Amino acid sequence: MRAPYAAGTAGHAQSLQVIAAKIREGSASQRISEWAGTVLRDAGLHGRTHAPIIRQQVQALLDAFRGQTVYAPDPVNKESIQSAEVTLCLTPNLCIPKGDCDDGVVAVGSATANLGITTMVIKEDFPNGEQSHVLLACRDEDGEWFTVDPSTLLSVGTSQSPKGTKRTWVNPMENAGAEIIGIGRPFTEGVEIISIDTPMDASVGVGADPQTPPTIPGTWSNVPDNVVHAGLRYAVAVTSPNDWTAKDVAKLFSPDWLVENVIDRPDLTTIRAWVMIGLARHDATLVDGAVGINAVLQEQPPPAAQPVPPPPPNTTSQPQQPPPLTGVPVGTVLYWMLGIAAVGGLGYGVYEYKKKHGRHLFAGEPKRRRLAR
Amino acid sequence: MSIPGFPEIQFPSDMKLAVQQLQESARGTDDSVRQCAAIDMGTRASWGDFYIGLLDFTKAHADPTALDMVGDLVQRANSYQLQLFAWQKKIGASCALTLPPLPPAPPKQQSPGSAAADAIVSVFKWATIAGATIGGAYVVGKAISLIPPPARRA
Repeated sequence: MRAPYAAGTAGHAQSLQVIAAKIREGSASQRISEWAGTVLRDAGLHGRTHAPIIRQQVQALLDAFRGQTVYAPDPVNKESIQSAEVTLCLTPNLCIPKGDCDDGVVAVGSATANLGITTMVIKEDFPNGEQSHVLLACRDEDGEWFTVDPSTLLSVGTSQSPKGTKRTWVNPMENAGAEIIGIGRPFTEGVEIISIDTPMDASVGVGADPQTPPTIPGTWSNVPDNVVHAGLRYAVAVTSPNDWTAKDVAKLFSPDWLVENVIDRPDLTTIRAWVMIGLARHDATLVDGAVGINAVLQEQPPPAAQPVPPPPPNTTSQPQQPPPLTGVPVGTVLYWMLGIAAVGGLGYGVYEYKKKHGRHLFAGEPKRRRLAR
Repeated sequence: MSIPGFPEIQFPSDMKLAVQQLQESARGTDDSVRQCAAIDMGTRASWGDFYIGLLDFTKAHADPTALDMVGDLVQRANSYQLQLFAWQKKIGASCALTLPPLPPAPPKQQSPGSAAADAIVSVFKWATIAGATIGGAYVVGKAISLIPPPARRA
């Protein structure tokens, strides 16, 4: 049921951008709105009881999508992503009721986003390194995330990702700050490794850990090959031995990084996990060693359209050059003093010694004594 | 004000303040770089390299003692200051800067009374140094003169 993704990291990133753009487009479409409303009405989900309903709504949309379409991979060597309206046959004279995981995610994600349900796109890289998959995650009334996989027959809230799968979460609606992950926890963008802790769907709804994952302000992108470049800022998600502290993690990274912060991951209860934020001192490829490298995110420039936040109080926008320090450091003066005192003192001591004992301090025995022998 | 021919002496407190200002200014500049969409990744990386070097310097000399204050420390601090100012001008050309303001500089026109007081303080500092050096030399000399001569053999 899982189709190979477009070859190469660049292809994956490009596909994700297209998927996100098409979901944004679909979420504003009147035809999608009509389709979603009709599906919910036909399913009897009128939403007037104020009882939790999001999971049922998403399941109804998923069932309707599956009833209207068939799964078919993209043509050989061709990556195509069609709009939700085309897949759901809502555009006059244009109906392609088949598609792969990308098309399903666009169709169902457009409908859930259209209904105001918080929706994320998840790209999965399987541990075999050859295949990728894409699915959705939605957030219910309790703030818990649940998966939605239009390419399978699985119900909402269940997924079948193999252990070790790397998941990259993308918010199709905005370019927001990233959180490095909490499985089953709220966040807007990030990367996680499946099965390093409680699987997502097992924690949903019952006994969920109240801890939330750390939030990292800024705009971050996943670095799939773990290659870091000197002078740039990264957030590195690592797992360490259980007895390690943040200081240990900082110490490990310090020779090669300007470590700015090491954030604990109390949301992951069965492993010791951290997020190290810092600037790389050299170009390098991060590999597992004393700590396991789970994900590497690189800080990106903020989107150009993003409003500039007001400057914090007690700041200025004009660079000012402070007056330079001048003069000699006191330590240098002290060392000079010591040197002068030692040399001068020695000279004075030699003079005093001769005056007091009638002979030079460094003179040997008198010559006449040596002759007497 | 210093005495002509005698340089100013920089004490650890002067250095600590300068390093603190340098660090705050660098952090403010870094925040501006992070918030600026107009700066490309190459410039960010160059800034990052400089920022790493500057922060390493400020961390190493955040709390200097008198004995740490040797060599070209003051010149290095000034060099970082100048480079940071150049970066701020470069970044400020394309983005808004959010920098901590510098503390007000001392007024250039000093009253004759305060100038005289500064000169007296400076004279006092150098006199103390000279006194301590001469005193040290005297103590060393006296200690040497107390060394007993080798005993004569019978």
